[in-house]
Amino acid sequence: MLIKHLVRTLVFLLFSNLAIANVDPQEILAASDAVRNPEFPFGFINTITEYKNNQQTDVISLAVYSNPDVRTGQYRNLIRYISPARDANKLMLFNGKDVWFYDPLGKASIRLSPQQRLLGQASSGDVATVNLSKDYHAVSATEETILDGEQKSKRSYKLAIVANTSDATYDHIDLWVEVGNSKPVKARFYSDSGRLIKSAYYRNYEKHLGLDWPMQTVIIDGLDPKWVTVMQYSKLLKRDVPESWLQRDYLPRFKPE
Amino acid sequence: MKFFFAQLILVSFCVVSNHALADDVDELDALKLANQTSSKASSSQVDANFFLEAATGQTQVRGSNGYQGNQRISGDLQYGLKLTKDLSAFISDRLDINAPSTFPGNSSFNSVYVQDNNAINTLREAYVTWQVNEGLLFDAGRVNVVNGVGTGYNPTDYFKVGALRSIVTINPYSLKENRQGSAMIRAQQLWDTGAFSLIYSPKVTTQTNNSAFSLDLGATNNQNSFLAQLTQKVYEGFSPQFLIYQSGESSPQFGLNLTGLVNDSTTAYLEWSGGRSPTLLSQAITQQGFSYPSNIKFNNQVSTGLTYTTKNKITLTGEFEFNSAALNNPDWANLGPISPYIYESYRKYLQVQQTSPTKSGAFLYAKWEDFFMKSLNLSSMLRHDLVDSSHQFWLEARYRFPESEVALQFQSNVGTTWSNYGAIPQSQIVQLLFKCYL
Repeated sequence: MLIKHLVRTLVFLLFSNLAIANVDPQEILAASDAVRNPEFPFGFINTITEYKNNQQTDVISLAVYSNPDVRTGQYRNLIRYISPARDANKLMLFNGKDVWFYDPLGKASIRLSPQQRLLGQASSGDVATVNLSKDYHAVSATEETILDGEQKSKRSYKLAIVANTSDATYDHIDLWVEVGNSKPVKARFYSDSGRLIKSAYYRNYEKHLGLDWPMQTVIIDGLDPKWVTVMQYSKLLKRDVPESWLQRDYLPRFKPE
Repeated sequence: MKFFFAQLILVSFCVVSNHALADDVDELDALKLANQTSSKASSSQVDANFFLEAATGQTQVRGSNGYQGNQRISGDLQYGLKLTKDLSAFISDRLDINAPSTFPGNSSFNSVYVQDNNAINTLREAYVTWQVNEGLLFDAGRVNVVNGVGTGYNPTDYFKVGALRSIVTINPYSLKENRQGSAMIRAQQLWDTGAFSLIYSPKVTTQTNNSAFSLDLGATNNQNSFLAQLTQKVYEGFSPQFLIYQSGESSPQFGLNLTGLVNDSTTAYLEWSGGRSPTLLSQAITQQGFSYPSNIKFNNQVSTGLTYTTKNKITLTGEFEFNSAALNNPDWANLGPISPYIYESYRKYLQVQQTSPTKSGAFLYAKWEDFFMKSLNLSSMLRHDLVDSSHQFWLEARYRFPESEVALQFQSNVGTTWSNYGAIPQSQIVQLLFKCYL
């Protein structure tokens, strides 16, 4: 009797997790990108709050200017530190793997490697606008019902995503996308050794610029779940981000607007 | 047997589900914590920075017993203002108040940094910008133009000459921060894949002035200078920069800046400047009014290195520095013992040039962010002279609060009597700093 019950449960679990035949995982991934990322240049404020062992340890506020590259489909991002005061008006330019840091006091532009993160637990891929479908390939989609970031039950596609360019920050990702509206719900990011680097919840959706935006991303460290980073978005604006801004020589010219 | 397998499967399920449950509980806790986050965002659009810094130090001067104290209070301001839609103004100034007025060990014999006044003000920048259109801009006024991709030595940083009025720390990043610009007119055209700049920096006066609030244009604008620089993207991630600089009656100097990504954790850079010029010793002696063979030939200055970042936020830079116009052995080893006066004149001339007196050196810089605790940064620098084997070591521990910083610095200069670093009057300096952002 017990064996029969277990077999029945296993068969159910097996079938419920089988890839869904009539959906294209890559299309779902591209649709989830489109939820977060408009096709026009835009700007927003990203306030990053970090907690360790339930204590707030850091708050950084950034102005992000994003411009989609029509050739690659990927975004170029110019980021200005707003606060804390010690970092105010420092700039970072992300143009693929071409990353530059500019300190207005020293006037020098310094080239950084992608690993030379300046934002604590949040990677450049978290802070900057990134189209996952350009750097990753979704290899399968299965349907699951999960609890979202607001503890509500959501019917979702679980996408198994692998990196397909060396520009990708992570080796592979599990991404849950809500069925019916393609809103990203949750993600798990892994290293090439299979280690969980971090989990992220996308929540507090609001309508801005004609899109449903997750106004908050909660990042939980893979090794230390007491290390939590909250990215709060605000002041989303459609704005001009000229091509000429997105190069090293422009950085000393940049003025806050 | 069947019962055993059933138990095994059940236990496996329990382990997996308990692990998942633990993850869920952790994530639920994290989400509850995130609920406390304020949704208020700081969105300051002000182009301004202001800080006060206080420092107290102890210096061991060579040839004297014990340590000598020194104190400093500094105020530092940067402020940008949009005057009209196309016109903006920018000012950057720093005031250092030192006690004693001259750093322990420095004298008019061994240093150009000798002050009569306790206060020394550095007007770093004061200029207006006219933005004609999205890509074309003109600047007029005093501008701090910093060039070069090198870390410890920048041969293409042509406007560094005479730019330092006071040295508060030998960290190369600090030396770029605390310097005065040159009076100039600059035109810059930016396009999608590059930029071109033309700079004319006129001769104003040849008289340097170290009085407290002097603009000291004699230090930065003692001859007519021209700089043209072009940056052009060749392919994604590779944008070389070319420079041509001409100053006074000197031959034009050509410059090149290259950077590249070796892998996700390593960047490489090469900075080169070359052109016909007299030796540095000849330049130093003729500046004193003496005649000396100029030995004009094509000289090369190079700074090249790698920066590597580990996964736990340690950044290491190794750099090789070379200047064919500087002295090599045996000339360098003989200069001090044979002619101490020319030796000190040569060193003082190179303090103004911000260039090493010897032909080659190695530079190492390490920074460890969040060193065993959040917000504590450990930085370290080693300059090793490859000609005379002397070295300079600098170490800093800096704790960063949101609106202030506390730092403890240690500097050591080691070498034989006439060596590059062994002749620096201060053998050791310990300094405690407090910086407050307003």
